[in-house]
Amino acid sequence: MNTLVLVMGLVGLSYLSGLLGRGRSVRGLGLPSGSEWIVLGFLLGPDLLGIVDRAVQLDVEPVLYISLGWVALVIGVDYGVVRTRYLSRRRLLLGAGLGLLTVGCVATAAWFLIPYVEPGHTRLERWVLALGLGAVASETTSNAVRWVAERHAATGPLSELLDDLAEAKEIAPILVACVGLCLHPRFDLGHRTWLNASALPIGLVAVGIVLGLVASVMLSREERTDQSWGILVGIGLLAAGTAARARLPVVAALFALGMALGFTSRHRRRILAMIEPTRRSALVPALLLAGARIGPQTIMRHALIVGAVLVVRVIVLHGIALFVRLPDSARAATPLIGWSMMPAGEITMCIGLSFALTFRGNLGDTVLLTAAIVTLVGEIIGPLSLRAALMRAGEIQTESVTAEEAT
Amino acid sequence: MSHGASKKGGPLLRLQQLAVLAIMFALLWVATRTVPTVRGSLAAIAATGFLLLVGTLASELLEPLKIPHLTAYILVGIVAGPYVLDLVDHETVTQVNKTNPLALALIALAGGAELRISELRKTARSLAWATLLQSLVVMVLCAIVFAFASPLLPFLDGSPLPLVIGLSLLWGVIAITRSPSATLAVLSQTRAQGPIAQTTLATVMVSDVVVLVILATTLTLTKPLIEVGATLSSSAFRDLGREILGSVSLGTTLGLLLVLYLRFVNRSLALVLLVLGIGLTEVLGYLHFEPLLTFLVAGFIVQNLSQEGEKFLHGIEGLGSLVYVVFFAGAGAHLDIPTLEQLWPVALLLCACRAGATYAAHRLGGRLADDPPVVKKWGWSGLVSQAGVALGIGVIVERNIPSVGAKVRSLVLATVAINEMIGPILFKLALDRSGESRATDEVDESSNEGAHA
Repeated sequence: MNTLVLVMGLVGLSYLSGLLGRGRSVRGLGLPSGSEWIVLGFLLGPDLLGIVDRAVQLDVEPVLYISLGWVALVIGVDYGVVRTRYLSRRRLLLGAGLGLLTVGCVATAAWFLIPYVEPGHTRLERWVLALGLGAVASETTSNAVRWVAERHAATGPLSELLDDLAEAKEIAPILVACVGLCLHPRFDLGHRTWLNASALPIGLVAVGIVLGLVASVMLSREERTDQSWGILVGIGLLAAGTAARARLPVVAALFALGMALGFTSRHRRRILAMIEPTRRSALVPALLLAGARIGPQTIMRHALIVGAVLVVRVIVLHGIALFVRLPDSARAATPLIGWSMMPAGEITMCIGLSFALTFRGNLGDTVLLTAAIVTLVGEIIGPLSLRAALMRAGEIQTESVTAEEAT
Repeated sequence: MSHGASKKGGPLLRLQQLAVLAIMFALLWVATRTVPTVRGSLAAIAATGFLLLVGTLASELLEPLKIPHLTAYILVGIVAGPYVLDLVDHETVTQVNKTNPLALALIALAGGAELRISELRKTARSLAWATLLQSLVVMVLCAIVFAFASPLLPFLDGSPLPLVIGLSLLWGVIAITRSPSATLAVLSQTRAQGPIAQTTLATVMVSDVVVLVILATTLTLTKPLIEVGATLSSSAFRDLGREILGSVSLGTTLGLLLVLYLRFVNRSLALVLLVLGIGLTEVLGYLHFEPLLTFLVAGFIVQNLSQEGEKFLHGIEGLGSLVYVVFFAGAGAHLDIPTLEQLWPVALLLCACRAGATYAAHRLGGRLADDPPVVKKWGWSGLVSQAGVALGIGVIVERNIPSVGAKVRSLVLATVAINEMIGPILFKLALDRSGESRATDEVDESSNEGAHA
């Protein structure tokens, strides 16, 4: 397929997803995680229909970097905001801590499992893989929580708690992925791997924060929409391009930029109102191209490690569900909370793709495949469990569910 | 194109802007020095962001000097480009300039949509005289000056007379090309409204079509002069007729489709324009149609055959404000400074002659058409800018005359560089002096209202 045709096709799909979605609401047509685009990409990929072949995939990689960067920027600006409400510091710390705990548990389990289910990796590769798998298996997408809550008009302490935790957890996988991605052999500093694992991510995040502050300063005096767009797009492309050029994690740099901008700008709501509707449109090309990178052979080759990670994820999320103190009214929903936290989506896929772009071959493929499977499985189990949990907690009226099923 | 200014600020704001500018330059400098081997698409992402951001910032910073924004963008491109700081190398500039079709499509669409039949009727007489005289007088005078100046050009030393005559005629064609992009950019920044703005825009847009016809004619007539053994052929006219008719028909269809879209869907116009600008331009190239004319006609149809014109223009402005910065900064980075250094005395002479001829033709046209005094005085200033079309003809000359074509093209580059810098400044000065530029405060208010809405 011609590169230009593919790019135009991707723009067309972005347009379509923009039409199907409805602004800041997550209730538009389409699944909350965007899994349908991954499946479509898988079908169009080189191993099945062969429409998106490997050569074209290479040609459109810059589009992927831009797409990943923009999504990360929007997530960063949005971090700590649930719809129109700002998260309390306590909830933010709790969510981030739980996120790190999830990543840590999955990564540790993966570290020990890798020699048995994915033999042949060097010590450094084992680290990279463990961190990558931990990062892609720790997200609970707030999109799914909001999707269920909005669709069934759920209100109450449990839906609020889950929404807050999902939002606050977002930072953990991105930071851990940043460390894993910086362990690329091209940043070889002799045997001092620890230096890569600390100095590069810290430096990258620091640069992202500085650029976020710069954007905040520039936007503080700018009230014209066109000029504001110029600043946002310009700084986003500059940061994404610079990180991509150095093969550093674009997602982490842009997330740090967005977060610094969000926390320091007094125009945060205006900025969010501008960029939030573009989130889905920017994500679609990434999801489709991610799906196209996965082939049946990749699935067969890495099925064991993916299955193991899924099992560990379920166990860890159930453990966390026991650890979190639920509101009294939601006690009856306790057995379902672990399953309710299964949905994953944009962050998982962005990280999976980042690994695939940075580590060509087995390593990247394994992380990307795991990300896709975690997202698809989460899509099947998560929203249903969440709906059941909210019903048990009395936050969804039975009539609402019946009406939804009737439609 | 951006217009107006951000909230007014004193020296502190300027210092802040300078600091941000320094950070941006430092960041890209570090990136290009630490990873010098990465070029092409990946480098182009960062370069595009850099040019967009720094171009926007520089235009704000230089605003007290009353310099048009697009001049600031070009300056940023020159400084960051391969001949000064080399933050954006040759290969990256080529990649960045891949967005040019989008910019040119937006410029043509906006240009067509700015032409209102009601206004054109009022200026029809003036437009007809201006087009006729600006084409004939400028072409003939510039061709004569080129012929007399040819001994100053080392690459034409000892060339046979027919070649010099042929090249002089082609130079005359190059001299009558204008810059719709620069005209629209300045108009968009100043939000100018009045006889100068209207007449200039109409003249520039019409001359773009006229140049196509004159170029085909001149190429056909001069071929026997510049190419040994070549004979006159009418095939160029047949091709030109097909190109113009095809472009107008396709433009009309596109315009009607856009009207339907704006009326019944009217969402995500930016993405639609993106697909049109990049995708459709490619298709038009494949069909050998003229993209500029197609989009110009489409914009004209939307403005004059529907109620959607203003909405459409507003949509183009939104995307254009980003794309034009990169377009002009990319053009700045693309400027061949060494060639300009080498050929500047002759280039300056040719530019001065062109400006003089433009002025003379304008005065004559103004008298014959009985233009208002303000148009007579300042109307010529918007016709000095030159850009893409001239460069395109330079490429055609290079392809058609292998012996000296490359040198002639360098001369074209040098003169375009001068006209590209001086033209917009002159035009903005004219709009400011004639009072057609809208006051900055007024622009601030309206754009803030727009932002809040």
